[in-house]
Amino acid sequence: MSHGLTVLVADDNTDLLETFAQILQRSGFLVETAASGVSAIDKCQKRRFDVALMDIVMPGMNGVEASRKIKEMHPGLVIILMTGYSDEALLKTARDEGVQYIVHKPIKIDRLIELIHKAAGNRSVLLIDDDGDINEALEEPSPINNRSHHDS
Amino acid sequence: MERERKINSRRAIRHLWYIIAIMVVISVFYYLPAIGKQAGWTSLYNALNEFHDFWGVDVLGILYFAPVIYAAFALGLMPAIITTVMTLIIRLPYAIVTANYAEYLFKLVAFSIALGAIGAFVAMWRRSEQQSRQYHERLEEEVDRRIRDMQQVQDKLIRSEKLAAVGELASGVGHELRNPLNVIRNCAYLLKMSLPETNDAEAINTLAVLDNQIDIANKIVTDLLNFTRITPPSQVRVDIKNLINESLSWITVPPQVILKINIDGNSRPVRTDPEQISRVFANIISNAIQAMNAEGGELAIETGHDNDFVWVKFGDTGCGIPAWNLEKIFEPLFTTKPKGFGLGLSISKRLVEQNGGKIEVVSQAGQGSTFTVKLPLEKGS
Repeated sequence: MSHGLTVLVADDNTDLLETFAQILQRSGFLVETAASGVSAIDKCQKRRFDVALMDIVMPGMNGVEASRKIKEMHPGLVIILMTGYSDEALLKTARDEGVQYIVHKPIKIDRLIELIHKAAGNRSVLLIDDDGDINEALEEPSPINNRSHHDS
Repeated sequence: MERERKINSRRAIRHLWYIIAIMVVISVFYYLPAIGKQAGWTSLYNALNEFHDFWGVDVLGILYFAPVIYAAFALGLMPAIITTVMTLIIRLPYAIVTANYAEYLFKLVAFSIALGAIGAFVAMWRRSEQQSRQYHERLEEEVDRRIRDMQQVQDKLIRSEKLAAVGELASGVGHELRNPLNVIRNCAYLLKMSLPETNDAEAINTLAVLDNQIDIANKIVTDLLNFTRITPPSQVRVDIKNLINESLSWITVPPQVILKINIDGNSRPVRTDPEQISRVFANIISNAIQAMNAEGGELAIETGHDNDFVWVKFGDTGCGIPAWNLEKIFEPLFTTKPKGFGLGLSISKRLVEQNGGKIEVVSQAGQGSTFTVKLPLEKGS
């Protein structure tokens, strides 16, 4: 079951953070959690992750800012931003900063897991429109994902 | 304009008759002593003749001020001068029959010049007073118009502020509501993961229902967010017919509502935001259908154009809007429906206006409503 992919989940909503962590752990990921943007940067300084799953709206430092700083440290890290509803300007900034995936809450878990596998194994083809959901992203043709073998 | 001229000329003729009447009466008094003398009415002659030379003043002649000033006041400068000349002519025979006619004639001419001058002065004063009154009236009208304009701008501002506040609220609610929805979805997923291998079909089914309800709740949030998000129009050349057909394709028309579509009456293209205007049409159509839902009815859609606008009329035979609600229907959060936010028409109005158009409504309670959307014709088309 374990595929060794490391995922950092950052969200200021504790319930959301814990349930995401539990689901991803049960699905075979190695998960660490952060309750804020600053904490997410700290975790990234301490170790390397394959994928960071981050909320956009967080107190203190928002997900877009945090992802820029994390990208500076680990340019290869795949970042998936989660949003309830954010304004167009912020989403555009996120895309300009090199964030490859933006997904909308409430997130369909099966598709999220699929997306994490795809993103982690396919770092070169990473483009998603914020209006489309994960479904659309997965419908795009992509190279073979060698590391994806989860079941749910 | 024509009507005003007719009224003015009728008024002038009436005044002319009054002037003639006054002149006749005064002239009778003026010539009465002379007539009395000829007829041998000595007492009448004695009683009145001294008024012709009362301490050297012809008091009966002074009476002629009345028609001249009246003419100056009511009709203006030229009629006043003409009246003065007329008084001179009327009084001439008296001057001629008077013994010391040379002196009297001189007095008469001098008096008439003075009369004419006073008449001219009154006429000019009257004219300047009229002009100043007209100026004040125009000023008042202008002030009223500006106040009305400002009131409209303020109403619009209040409406858009209210809309912006609703938008902000929707955005906040959207964000806040989607987090708990996501937590519920995660919990349901975890429960599904924890189910024993044997798989309880009923439990799995229940969790699927839960997941489905999360999607429904999320759709309500998404609709509200999309509805209140108003972006600047991106205008392209469109055929209004296509927009109506597209709007109709989004809506399910119940069997009790009959559609009467006559949208071939216009072939002029407009430059507008097709997505925004289709939303407006869809909103009006769906309102019309709701107004006829209970008892059924007819929805007539027709198009046409005048010199400036292409118009689309949506006439229904539904429950109509009572007069006291007509002004409020474009207000954000005003609704008479059991379901709904009261945003449809306020957003429609804003969308139409930001595309340079107008939205109008005529309605009678119990009879139905007609909404007209007017969009500016493409220049040079």
